[in-house]
Amino acid sequence: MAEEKDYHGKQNYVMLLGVIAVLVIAMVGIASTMTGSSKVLAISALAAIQFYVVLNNLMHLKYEPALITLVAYLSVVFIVILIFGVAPDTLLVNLDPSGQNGLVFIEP
Amino acid sequence: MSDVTIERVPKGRLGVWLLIAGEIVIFGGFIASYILARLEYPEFGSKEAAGDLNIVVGTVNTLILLISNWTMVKAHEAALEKNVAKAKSFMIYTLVLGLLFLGIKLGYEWPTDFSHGHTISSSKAIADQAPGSEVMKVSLFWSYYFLMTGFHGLHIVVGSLVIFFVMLGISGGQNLHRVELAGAYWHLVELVWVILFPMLYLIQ
Repeated sequence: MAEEKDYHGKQNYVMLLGVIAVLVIAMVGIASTMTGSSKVLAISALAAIQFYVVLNNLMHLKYEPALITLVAYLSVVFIVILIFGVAPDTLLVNLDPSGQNGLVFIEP
Repeated sequence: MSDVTIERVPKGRLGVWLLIAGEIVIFGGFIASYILARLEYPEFGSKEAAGDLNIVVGTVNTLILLISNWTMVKAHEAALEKNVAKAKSFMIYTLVLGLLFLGIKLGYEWPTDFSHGHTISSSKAIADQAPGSEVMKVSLFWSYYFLMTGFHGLHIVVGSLVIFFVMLGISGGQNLHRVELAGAYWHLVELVWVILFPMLYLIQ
C-alpha cells in the first residue's frame, strides 16, 4: 500500500505558522514605514521566505521523493525563465502614447 | 528524498503534485505579467492606482487563510492517527475559514472596490476614451487585481469542494491518505497568496 506510506517527520506547526504570521505583520510594517526600492526588496525577501516555508514545511516538499521535488521546483524555474525571457522584449518596447505609430522601439 | 524512480511515488501523490506544478505555472504567468507591467510603467500599481485597497482587511484575510492552513495540518495529523472524527472536525474548521476568507473578499472588499468605480474592465473603458493615457495605465492595476484575486478565489472554492468530498469519503475510516492530498492542494492556495498579498496590497 504505497499510498498509506507516511513520508513525514515531526514538525512544530504552531511555530511554523507563528513564523509566517510574524513575517506577514513585518511586511505590513515595512510597507507603512519604508519607501522606494529598499521597501520592495525587503517585502520581496520576506515573501520569498514565506513561499519557501509553505512549500517545504506545510506542503511537506522536503519529505517528498526526489521526483516530486523536481516537478515542483521545475515549475518555479519555468516562471523565472518566462520573466527573464520576456523582459527584454517588454522593457525595450514602448506603446506610442499618440496611438498613431503603433509600437515604438527603444534602442538598447 | 532518495527515491527517484516513478514506480516508488504513489500515483495519487504524484498526480496532486503535477496539478500543483501546473497551478504554479499558471499563477506564475499572471505574476510574471504583472511584474513586467510594473517595470514598464512605474506609475501602474502605485499608491494613486492601488490606494483604494484596504490593507487592514487584506491582512486580516491573510491571517484567516493562515489559520485555515493550520486546521488542515491538524486534520492531516488526525488522519495519520486514524482519528476520523477529529480529522473531520478540523476539515470543517478549514471549510469555515475558507468560506470566511471568500465572504470577506466577495462580500466586503470587492463591493467596496466597485463602489470606487474599479472593475476588471474599468481600464478598457478609460482606454476607449483616452488611448495611452496615464489614467489607463493606473487603472490597469485593477484588471490584474480582479483577475488574480478572482482566480485565487476560484481555487478556494475548488479546494473547499475537494475537502468536502474527501471528508465524506473518509467516514468509514477508508482513504485517510486523501486528507493529506487535499491538504496539499489547500496549502497551494496559501502558497499563491503569500505572493499575491504583498505584490498587490503592499508594494505600491
